[in-house]
Amino acid sequence: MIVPFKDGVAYASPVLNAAGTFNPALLHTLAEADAFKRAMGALVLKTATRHPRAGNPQPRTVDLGAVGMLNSIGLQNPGLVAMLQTGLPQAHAHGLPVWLSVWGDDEAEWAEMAELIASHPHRDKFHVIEANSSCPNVAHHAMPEFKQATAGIRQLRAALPNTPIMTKLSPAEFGMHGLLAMAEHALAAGSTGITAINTLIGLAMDRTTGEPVLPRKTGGYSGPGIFPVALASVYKLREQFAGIPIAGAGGVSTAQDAQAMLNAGATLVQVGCASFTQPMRLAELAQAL
Amino acid sequence: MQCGLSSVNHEAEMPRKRGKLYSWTSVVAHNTTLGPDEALITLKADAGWLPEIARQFYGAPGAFAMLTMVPHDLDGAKFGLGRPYTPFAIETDGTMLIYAHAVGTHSRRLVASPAGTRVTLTGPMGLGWPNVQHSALFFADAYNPAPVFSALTHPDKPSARVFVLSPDAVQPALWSWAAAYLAANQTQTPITLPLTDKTLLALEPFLDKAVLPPESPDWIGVCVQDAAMSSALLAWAAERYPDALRLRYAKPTMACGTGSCYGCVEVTTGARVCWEGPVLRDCSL
Repeated sequence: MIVPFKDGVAYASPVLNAAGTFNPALLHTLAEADAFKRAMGALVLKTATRHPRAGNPQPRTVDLGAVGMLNSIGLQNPGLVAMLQTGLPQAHAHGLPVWLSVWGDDEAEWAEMAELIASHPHRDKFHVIEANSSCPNVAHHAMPEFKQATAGIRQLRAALPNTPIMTKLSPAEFGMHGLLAMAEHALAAGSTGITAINTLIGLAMDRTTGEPVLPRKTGGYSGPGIFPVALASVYKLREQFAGIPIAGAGGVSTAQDAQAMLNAGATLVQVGCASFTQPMRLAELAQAL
Repeated sequence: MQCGLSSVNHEAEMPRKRGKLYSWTSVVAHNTTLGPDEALITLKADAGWLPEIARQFYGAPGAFAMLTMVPHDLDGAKFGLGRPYTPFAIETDGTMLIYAHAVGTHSRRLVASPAGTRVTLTGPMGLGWPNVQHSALFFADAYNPAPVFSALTHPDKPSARVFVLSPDAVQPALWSWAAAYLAANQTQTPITLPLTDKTLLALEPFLDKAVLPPESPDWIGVCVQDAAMSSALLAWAAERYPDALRLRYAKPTMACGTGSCYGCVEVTTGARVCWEGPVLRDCSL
């Protein structure tokens, strides 16, 4: 058992899924669901936005082989209200701590979402809010967007003074210095800790047409190829910010990777791509730690 | 036409609710080459196999398994996305027959895999065909025999009529094998339609010439890769057999197959094909 946050809530292990990479409904069908629940630290829900979102055009994924994949989902989700009303209680029923992942397009949306979450009757069904501030697959992605997210974190903190908030960041746009700077802003705005890293930005070209495969050209690059970048990011974050919770994410595929992430300074480890090939690998990885 | 999720999911017609999801290791027992980029692969499950897995597949013919060669035989790589494979048949001893067509690195490796190659399977996934014991009418194209055959060789196989589109033009080796396979399983041989023109106008006379059941089947399954052809068939079916449940088998690229990533969502329906499908109710494509 570990206690990743100061509120004393214990997690069975430091291993979590990354947002959008595990369908909680699988816990009704996985033959080894009980073993899964025993092994996992928490369930992270798919990122919800203020309003339902249809996502990006197809194709949305590109298989890059052994190094990973590109995705351009575009935050498709049923919206925050549906997530709070349905997705959250369904996930909570499995008995694991739940992380609610949210994204706001602008400061007003963040404010609305903070109010909605704080006043919702299912408010007690999640443990952590993960503020996704780094999705590469939506229209806005620049430093001004991050500043809006920082404002959003302030709104969340004001509305939910005692809830752990993890801000999810990536060095994709601004490199390592940018990541550290964004983390500093997020923590100053009230974030409890940092989830790092979200996907990098990648491109795949169609050999036949010579054009990008994805309609939005670039996509989020994840998988084993980004693991060294994720590891370095966590290491640098830990050097700069002692004592904060850090959820290390990015290309974690084996128990050795997860252990390396913990050794680099992560408090928790999120697994994304690896759970695609076999959902039970999440639990196997946790058990092997 | 925009279709909501409630209109595309046919879970209410399924003989059982979603079954258990398993992960197991199999070994390539036989590789029958059909061409430079295609092969029939016989897989045999290892000692961890449970007959229960086969029973879950029988509960939903047309459901699929995600197959990955990692962490076994992909040059020591620790990652490789799975590919969905609908088995032609799956036996209680863990034998499973799949058709592999090389489209990328991963599937090319599988097509060329010698006996003894180890793979990991996760399944069954998705919602297959409903109530197989009822009467059905199938349309299949050259690329998608397995979802249809898994229903035709089911112990409670439907009283079905099968039409195969353009079998002579594409993958004749596969369909030659498939016809023999069906004959060996005492199942009706498909009626082939030598269609080359993908238009509704061209389709109608061929269908009329074929021996169509006089009474409406309980459901009509369209398992055709080309979206325009699929729409044309479903439109025809709606007019000819308005009371039949009309279903189509969708097979896009899938990243996870578990409804987690939303990578296979159909833009017009909003359905995650792996989770609400791959068999979906008739809806605008």
